[in-house]
Amino acid sequence: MVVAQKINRKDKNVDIDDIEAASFDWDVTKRLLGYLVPYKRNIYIAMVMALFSVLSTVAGPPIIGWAVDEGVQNRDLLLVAVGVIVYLVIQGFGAVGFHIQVKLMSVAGQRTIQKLRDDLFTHINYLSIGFFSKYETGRLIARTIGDVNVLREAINWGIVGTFRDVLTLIGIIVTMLVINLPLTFVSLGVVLVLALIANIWRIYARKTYLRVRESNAKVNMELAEAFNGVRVTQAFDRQKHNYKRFTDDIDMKNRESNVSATMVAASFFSSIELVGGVATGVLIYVGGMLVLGQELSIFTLLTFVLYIDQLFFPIRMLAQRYNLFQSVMAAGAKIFNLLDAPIEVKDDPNAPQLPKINGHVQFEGVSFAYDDDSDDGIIQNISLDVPVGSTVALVGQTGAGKSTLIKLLMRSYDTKQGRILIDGHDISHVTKKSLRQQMGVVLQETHLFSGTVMDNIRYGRLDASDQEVIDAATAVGADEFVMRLPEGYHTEVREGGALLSAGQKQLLSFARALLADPRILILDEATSNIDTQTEKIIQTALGRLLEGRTSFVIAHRLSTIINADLIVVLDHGQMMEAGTHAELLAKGGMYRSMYIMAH
Amino acid sequence: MSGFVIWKRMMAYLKPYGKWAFLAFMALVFSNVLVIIIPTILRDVIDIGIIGEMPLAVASPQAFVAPLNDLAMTYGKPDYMLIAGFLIVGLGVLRGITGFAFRYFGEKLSHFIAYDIRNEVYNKVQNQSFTYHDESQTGTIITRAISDVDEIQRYFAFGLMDGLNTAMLVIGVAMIMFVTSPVLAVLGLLPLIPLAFFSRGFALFVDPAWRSVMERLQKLGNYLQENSTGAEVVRAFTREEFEINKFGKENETLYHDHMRLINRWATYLPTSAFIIAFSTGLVLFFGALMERSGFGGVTVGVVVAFNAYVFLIAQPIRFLGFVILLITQAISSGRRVFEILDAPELIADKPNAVVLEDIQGIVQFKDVNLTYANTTQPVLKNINFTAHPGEVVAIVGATGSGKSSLVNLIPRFYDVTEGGVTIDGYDVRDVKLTSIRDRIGVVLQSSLLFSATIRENIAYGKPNASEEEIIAAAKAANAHGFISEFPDGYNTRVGERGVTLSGGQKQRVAIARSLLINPRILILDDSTSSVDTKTEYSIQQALSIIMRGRTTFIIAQRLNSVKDADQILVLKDGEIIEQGRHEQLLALNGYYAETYRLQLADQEKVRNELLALGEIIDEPTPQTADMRLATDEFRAILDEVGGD
Repeated sequence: MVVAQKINRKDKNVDIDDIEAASFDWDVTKRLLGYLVPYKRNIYIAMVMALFSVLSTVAGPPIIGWAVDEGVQNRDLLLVAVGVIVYLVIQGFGAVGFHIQVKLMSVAGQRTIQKLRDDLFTHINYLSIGFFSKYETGRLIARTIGDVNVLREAINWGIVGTFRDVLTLIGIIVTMLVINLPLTFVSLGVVLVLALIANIWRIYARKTYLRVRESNAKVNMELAEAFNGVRVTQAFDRQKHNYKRFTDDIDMKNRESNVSATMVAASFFSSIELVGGVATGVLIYVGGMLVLGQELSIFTLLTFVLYIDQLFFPIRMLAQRYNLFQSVMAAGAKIFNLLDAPIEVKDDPNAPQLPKINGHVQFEGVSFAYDDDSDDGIIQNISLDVPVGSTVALVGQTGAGKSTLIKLLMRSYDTKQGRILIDGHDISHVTKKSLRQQMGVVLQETHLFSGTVMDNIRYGRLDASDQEVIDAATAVGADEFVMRLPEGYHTEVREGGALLSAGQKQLLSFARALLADPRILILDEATSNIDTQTEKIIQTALGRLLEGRTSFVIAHRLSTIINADLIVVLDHGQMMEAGTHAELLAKGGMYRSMYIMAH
Repeated sequence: MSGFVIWKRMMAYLKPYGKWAFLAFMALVFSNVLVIIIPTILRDVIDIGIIGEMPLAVASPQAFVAPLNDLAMTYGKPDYMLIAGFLIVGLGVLRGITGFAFRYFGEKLSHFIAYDIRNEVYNKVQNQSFTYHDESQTGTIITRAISDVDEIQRYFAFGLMDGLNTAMLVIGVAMIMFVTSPVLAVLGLLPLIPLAFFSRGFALFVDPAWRSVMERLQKLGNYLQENSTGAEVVRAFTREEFEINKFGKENETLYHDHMRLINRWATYLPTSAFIIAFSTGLVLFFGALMERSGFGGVTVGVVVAFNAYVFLIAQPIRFLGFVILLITQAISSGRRVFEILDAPELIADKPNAVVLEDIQGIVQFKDVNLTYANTTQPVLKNINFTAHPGEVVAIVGATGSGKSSLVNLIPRFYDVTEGGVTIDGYDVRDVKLTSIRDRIGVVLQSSLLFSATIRENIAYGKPNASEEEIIAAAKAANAHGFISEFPDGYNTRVGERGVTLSGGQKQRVAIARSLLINPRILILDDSTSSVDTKTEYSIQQALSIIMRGRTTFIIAQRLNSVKDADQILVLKDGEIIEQGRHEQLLALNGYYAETYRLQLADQEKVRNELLALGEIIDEPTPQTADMRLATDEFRAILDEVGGD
């Protein structure tokens, strides 16, 4: 068992700062138990089954002792046969009981964590965008994978296991008391010493485990970083320095923490053996003397000697589970914390669908500020009327409120004051889904999902046929490079789209938006430089994409700005001026000075 | 390499820790002897101490406790009990001590070996050529350095030691059982043989099943990662339900995979326990039978001792499969690790490499051809040019025309296939790598920063740089402003668990990093590609001043930023098709001129508009003056610290 556990400790999805143990928390416990309610029956039956395995553990030694005493010593083969059969039958029941118990509890445990993971993922998908800047991906993964896994172990093995271990201990002690009092005292002494050792071990084991995990994570992080950044390292000729840092610090600390964990484990198991040896010796002397005085049979002595070995396992497991339940409290608290993260933008209970729109957008005295009181991204009293089919270019410095304005339009947030109307419908009174379904978005950095190029374009409209996908790609001029990919549209997009250039990825996101064919298009122009050839294609595609739709563009390209029907200049959340390129240049305000600065 | 060769090579890592290995081994032997003796005492306690009959067959195991038997005869049973009790206590203590030594030293050395191998891999990979890194997937190498080394560590800690332990124990116990009573030994051990095979089969099932569960979990993690980094896209296209279904499906598959694995455990554990119980039953029944018929020296004590022996070896046999698995896995891990360690180093100093003390900065390309390994298409063809100290050489051309390949030859990131690159007349292949790389500042296209503080990042090339130097470099790169705005200033951590810098900010930190080493040669590989126009402008202002006095190679998409270069190389399909100053190239009316017109059409339009509006645009903005000041300050500080 120990070997198997060591082999399987490959869970690397737990992050470093999540290592504290929490004390008992009733709320967390209640909620966790809530998840187990549907599996009540499984748990009850598993507990009954656990009784069988307790029985087989507790009854084994006395049966063997009895068979030896009454059967072997008295040369009564029939009694021996009876003993052996009873022993095997009880062991058989124990084995079947254990099997059923593990199966039932695993179903409960696995189903529970499956539900928890689904719940977490679902909740994450309904949280607003802003949440993700506060809660990094790594932590989300740690919650959903690592922390949930802690619960898995607790449910699968912890609940019924604890029940079984406690009963086993009680069972053994009661049996001992019934059989012989003086020897029970010797054994209880052993139990106490073992419990003491196990408790000390538990504390040190936790400490060293956390240290090992932390130092291990640091080594892994350093390896990942060093190998990813190897080109920079070589350019700066830093290899020696890095090597020294790795060997003298990071890896050295890892070795030290591992060696001290080894020390703890070795001390523990060896002292258990030592105690076992000492206890057996004492038992044999005390018991042997009693046997000689005709006060005791071999049966009793043998039973006690065999019990010494049986005592150790439940005590160790109980100590280990104490640590496990501490981790469960910590993990549970963090999981529920995430599940309780408020969904900021909610639909009204009976919000109607937004009917099919034309794309007439009005901002009426819209104001907004983020909850964290920062000045970034505030919007102050913006009113704007955008006729159907026109292109609005949003211009301004970083933090002027361009992207906030767009997020309000998509209802990623609700306005604090004022309202936004589309074809006369207040967007805060219709369902988010019906609103967003009629909008298309092209972000600054194209996000591609794992899957084929085809899958990624189809993300815009899931029921689009292959031909429609290809048509969309062709319309934005992406078809040409897609066809040059090893497997054309069926080429797998690797993580982050490493295979594609920035310009190519952008064209794919154009195709995706075009396929969705939205009435309102939101476009955050990419800033990265694209070579002249691709740039030309993108310019053409852009024209194609904006055509006939109401569009809001956070513009970086000069041509986009100049060609816009309306340029809105934002500064600190206020609309400074609005008009066409010619109008604004002539006006000689902020736009003109920005324009001169940039060019 | 055959498995055996790999195994031998892994075992060679034990050498520095021979003392511990020996200690662990001796402790193991000793501890197993003790473990085997204890049941014989129990046997004699029952047979001699309690029942009081001399064992019928006097075989060698009695030799261990022969003096005890004499004691029983001489002093009587109570003393015998006392001595036996003390003996067991003593042996128990000894066993505790030897067990500790075995466990501690056996596992300790495994961590030392893992440390050694990991360091070796780290050093090797860090010094491997760019070609090597281009061809291998970084993720794979990282996995090898992490899990394969772990696997080897587990082999030494558990595979080797537990394997030896199991072998010794099984052999020792089997021997003593056979010597005592061959027939009962066969009966007791017989069920354990299928158990060993059963265990092997189980391990062979569990391992891939476990891996597939881990892979599924990984996949869930990947979905989550995609979902959160693409959160905006998900919401924009209202794909929440689609995503939830995708995740749910995978989650359901995980459930079934995991249950399959657990069901095996749920079957194996009780079944193997029952086999052991069966073995015990056999020993009991046939032991009794043999005792009654007085066959082969079986006594009550022998039955009890055999019972203990069966328990003793049953546990290790139960998990023998995993131990064997550890060994076979360690061999495949070893193979992968050695593959890394044995990969030839393509770029290395020659034995008699020259140390370039000081570099002036004359860079010359002579008939350079470059074809990357494992490809046939040359990326550079017949490149010839000379850059003089202080000159700015701009390299332009379409994506894939060979621009980066060209500049990468200067710090010898790659070796030319034909021809040569010289610095101050020395072929870069003849000088010590460090002596040239120390004097070349490179700002790569993607400005990778390390997860450390901004200070540490800037001082990456010069870890002992003073505070003043660091700040001066940051100021010169126009980065001091935004750095100072962070609450922790230069101590702000970037990357994982730190702040996220924008593309432009990262780029400026990267520029500061290059400046700090005060390079004679500066290479800027499209260093303004991922920033907006305004930032680009401010970076370029900083650069134009920094470039002065250094031989600079600059790769840029926007031709506007290379107009003032002393030399412009226009690359197409790996060849220099045009070469000269901006005006000369315009006059050529070729590729450069065409691209320039295409790019600057907009700019020209602006210029004309502004001219029409009567704006004067050639005056330096105040910001530029500030920066010039900062750069001068930087130079002054550099002079002060001795120009190094």
